[in-house]
Amino acid sequence: MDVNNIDEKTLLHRAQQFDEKALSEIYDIYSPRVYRYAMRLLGNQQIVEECLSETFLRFLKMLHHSQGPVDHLQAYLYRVAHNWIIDYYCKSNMEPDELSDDIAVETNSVEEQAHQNIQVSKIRKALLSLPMEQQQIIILKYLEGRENEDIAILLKKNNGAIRSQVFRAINALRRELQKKEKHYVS
Amino acid sequence: MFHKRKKEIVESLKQLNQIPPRNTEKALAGKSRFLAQARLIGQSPVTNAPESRHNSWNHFPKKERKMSTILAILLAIGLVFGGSTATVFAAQDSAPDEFLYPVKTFTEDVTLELTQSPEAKVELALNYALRRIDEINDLKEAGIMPPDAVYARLENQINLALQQASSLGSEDAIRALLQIRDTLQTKEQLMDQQSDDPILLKTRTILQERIQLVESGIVDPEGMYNEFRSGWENTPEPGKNGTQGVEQPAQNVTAAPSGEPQNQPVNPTMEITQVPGNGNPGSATPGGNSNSGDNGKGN
Repeated sequence: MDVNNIDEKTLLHRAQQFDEKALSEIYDIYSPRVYRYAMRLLGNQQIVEECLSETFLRFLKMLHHSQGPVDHLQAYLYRVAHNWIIDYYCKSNMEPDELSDDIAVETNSVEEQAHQNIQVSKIRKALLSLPMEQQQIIILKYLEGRENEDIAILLKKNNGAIRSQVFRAINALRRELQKKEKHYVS
Repeated sequence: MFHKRKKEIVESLKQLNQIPPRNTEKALAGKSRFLAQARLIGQSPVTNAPESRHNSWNHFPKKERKMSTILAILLAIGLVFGGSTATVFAAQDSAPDEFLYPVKTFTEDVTLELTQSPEAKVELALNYALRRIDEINDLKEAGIMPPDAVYARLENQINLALQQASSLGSEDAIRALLQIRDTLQTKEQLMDQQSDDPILLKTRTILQERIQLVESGIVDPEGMYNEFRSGWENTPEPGKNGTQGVEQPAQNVTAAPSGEPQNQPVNPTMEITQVPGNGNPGSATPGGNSNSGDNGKGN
């Protein structure tokens, strides 16, 4: 379902009244997206389930205190999930490459598989080390394939700002990847 | 050069997109938990909002005001038993250490008894169990040790909800059990996890044990139902143990009146029994009424 096709404000207004149908709809629409978002950054299904559960619980608590979002729910949920993921890595003292990875890259051999796993965790680490907004832009643009206009709406920015931020984000990611490459070589 | 590098980065990013689909069962369980949490959080008062004062004799929670059936039952109890209807209403707000509390528990038992549909019974029993938790919290806040009977009622009411849920058809049973588990889990999670207060620890232990029990029921609802059945069959009939119709506290009720820590039972209370201080003939507890044995399935 396209974000633009959902009457998000009405849905959120109903959710603020704890309307079960609206909340159920929100879960159906957004949980698969948050799942994919968290999977990219965590790579482990079990931990992603924890992240999802906590993200939606925090959303309910914010609604309860009348502090929940009034629009751009997806960006809001991504932000909550993102914070959870950062907290998770901090609290567990774990690096992204220490988690068992459920992201399956098709390869021919065990060696290739191992190499691919290293690549995936390197990209994930590099992505995680970017500022939150740059991460979101990269994920929305290159992994979810969204247009700049769409991203601008989601992140409450104008089109031009998004274009220049995409450029900066990809540059920042390139720098981070170079750093990681050096680290892996050494 | 930049474009080539960008292309490489975008290509490598795509590796993060090979995400396995979400496990359907986990997705369903996740949604059910979310909705149960919503129900609980939506009903609980916002802590920083000004508290409404009890400034009238018939104040009782909003939710009950909507429940016309229960209202009718309360009226009927007042009339049938010759007591004042006002007393029955006033009792709905009473705490376990108050004079009218037995009237409150009595009306709960009768309401449960008069409720025919197992689904409605599950919901009622679960709501009553949540009431017990709120009562325990209120007493804790007031610096009063909750009586053991309140813990025992809490366990019994959860068990009743489980027994009724497990008596539903397989799919409905699982759905109802998931809802019970999520409600209990949310209630448990909303408690202060850092506190070492013995009252809180005791309540959390009871909830954790019941959550484990529900988990096993979700895997095998029929097994759970049969265990409840054997629990009733092993429960002595009223009067046979010389207690003149009031059963002894269950051997396996975790919050036994002795006040011992409640980790002792291996199988946490598959029986549902009458609770001390609740000696009334109208108890909805399968062990304490005439339709024990086929309660639930027969409904």
